[in-house]
Amino acid sequence: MDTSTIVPADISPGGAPAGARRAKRSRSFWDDAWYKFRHNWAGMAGLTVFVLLCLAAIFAKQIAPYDYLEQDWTAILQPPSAAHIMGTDDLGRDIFSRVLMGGRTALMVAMAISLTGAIVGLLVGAFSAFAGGKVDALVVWVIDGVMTFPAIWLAAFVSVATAPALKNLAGSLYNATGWEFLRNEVMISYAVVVFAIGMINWTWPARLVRSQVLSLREREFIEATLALGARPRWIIMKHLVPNVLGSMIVLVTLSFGNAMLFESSLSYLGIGIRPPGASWGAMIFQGMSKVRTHPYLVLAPGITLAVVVLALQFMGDALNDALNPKSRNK
Amino acid sequence: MIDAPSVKGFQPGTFAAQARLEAPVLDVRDLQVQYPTREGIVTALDGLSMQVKAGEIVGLVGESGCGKSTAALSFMRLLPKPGRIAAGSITLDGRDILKLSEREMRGLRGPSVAMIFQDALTALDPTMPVGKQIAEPLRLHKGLSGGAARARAIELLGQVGIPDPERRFGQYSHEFSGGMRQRAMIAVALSCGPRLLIADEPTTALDVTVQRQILRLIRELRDTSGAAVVYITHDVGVVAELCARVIVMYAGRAVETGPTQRVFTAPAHPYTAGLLGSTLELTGDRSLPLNAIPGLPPELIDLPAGCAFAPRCPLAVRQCQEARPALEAAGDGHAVDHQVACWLREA
Repeated sequence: MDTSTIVPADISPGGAPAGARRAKRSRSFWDDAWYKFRHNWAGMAGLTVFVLLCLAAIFAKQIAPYDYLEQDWTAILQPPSAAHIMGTDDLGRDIFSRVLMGGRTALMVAMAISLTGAIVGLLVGAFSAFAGGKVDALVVWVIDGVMTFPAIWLAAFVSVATAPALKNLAGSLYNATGWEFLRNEVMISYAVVVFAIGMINWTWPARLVRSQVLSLREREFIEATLALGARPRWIIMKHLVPNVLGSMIVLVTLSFGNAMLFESSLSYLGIGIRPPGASWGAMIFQGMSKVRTHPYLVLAPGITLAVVVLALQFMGDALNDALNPKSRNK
Repeated sequence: MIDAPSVKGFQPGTFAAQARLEAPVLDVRDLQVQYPTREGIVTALDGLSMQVKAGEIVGLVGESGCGKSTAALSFMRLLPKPGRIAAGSITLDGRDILKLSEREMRGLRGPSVAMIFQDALTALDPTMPVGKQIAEPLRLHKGLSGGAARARAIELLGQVGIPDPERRFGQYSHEFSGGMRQRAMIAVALSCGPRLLIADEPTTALDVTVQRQILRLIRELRDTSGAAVVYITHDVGVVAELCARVIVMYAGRAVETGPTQRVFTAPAHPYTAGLLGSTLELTGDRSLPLNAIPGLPPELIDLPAGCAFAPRCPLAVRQCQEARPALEAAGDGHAVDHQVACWLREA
């Protein structure tokens, strides 16, 4: 068989027998997932937007035409123009530069929240499923309890309640270490937001991991590994975690967009990122009072937020299809 | 070098000779396994005794729920909760495993006792390359590094008859055919050169032709490694082909044991006769009274006082309902170790 024959890309999916392409080389789980993800246009579009956002956030300072805090009293509330492509706000700050910095905020906060949520959820969920009995019942009870409250309400409550305590903590840490960033108000508001949302966000991964571990534990390969004399820790690290990883990736991607929305919501309510810091939510809030006369104040950060969250949602859905072993042989 | 089961220097016959002299690898005495449930205590295994010597293949045969798999799991001390060993002893390679700590027991799983599972598709981890799973016990028990474990795993893949083992090493279980998967599963079990190999229906999920190959492989591996094998199945045909001795189980008890040939040509227990009569349809022997055994095995909660098979037995007499027969010499004089638990054994 001549495997070097080049099949034109446009006829290969339908034209060539699916098995022929498959037989050429061994495709691992991840190869297969990537193949499926690549062929999902919504997922790829989402990924593109996400990568662009990451690049924009990383190089925000280089891309931004102005300093995001720079106030230009000669150019207040300018509509979009060549000099200010998204216009300027009521302090004469360039909105495009602020949207870029807001992207950095959203990305950093969402990353911190998603990762801590995933790690805490993974540990709590796995522990609960393994412990079983009363411990498991208690953990489920706590998870359900946290989920019962409206998330934004709870996050607002935690944020307001813990802000002074965290500020004090940062203050005493500063006294002990002398690290300058601990006195940075913006940094502290970041920490408060991450802490508040993180307190709520771990429940979904915990619930997912718990149910996954419960079902995986009954699978024969876990028993087979036990029958080879493996310690429970070995089984968790080598067999359970890789099996849970697929759905964790999906959940983290989806929760990423959620966390961004959350951060914006809290900032919109005025209890998130504090004024000198740039946040899409805070920008929308500040623009709301002038939305009738200057809609671009709200539209620029609003549309950006919507596009990014939608992109992450698409990406999550595509990942879900790609990483689900049951949909593999399509 | 790795102290893998040495192939050279052993002839198939040597083990048969050795087996007679050696102490059994597995020695089970009066094993009783119970599962406490809300409805009462389920006695899944009641008074099982068996010995398996090195190089010997012993078949454990019976219907679903007769305690075969419970027996296998208790030999590894892996009974699912809330199962517990209520009485008896299990001696593996001269050590009473019921007295070992969990840590010591983990040290035995792999090098002393290993298990081949029924469904290799579910017994292999879908997210780990097959070769790595074969290397896993080597890393766990022998402390081999990645490279050495890999080399040994490739060797094992070749040993169980998988072509192109180098390439297969990195593949995942879904890229293997059913027979190949079962071979890989066997390689996993064999990797540490276990003294006792427990095969729990390893061919049930396979095509008949593949089944043949796997049986041949198990026999060959027994010959080269000298491992003792406990082969669990409900297929009397497989037992007849593979096992030197057989234990027929019913409702958690051994009802008949002995050399396979003796037990299958002259079954002393009506259940064995029924089992043979309901499966060996092509032998042409229609003199046996049953083609299928009517009724169902009893619930294992509060078994009747008498023989558990009595309600389904075509030959049952009153004595059978009243008292439980013990496992005793079948009394046919031909084979000393042919034993049966039936009141009608002298008849």
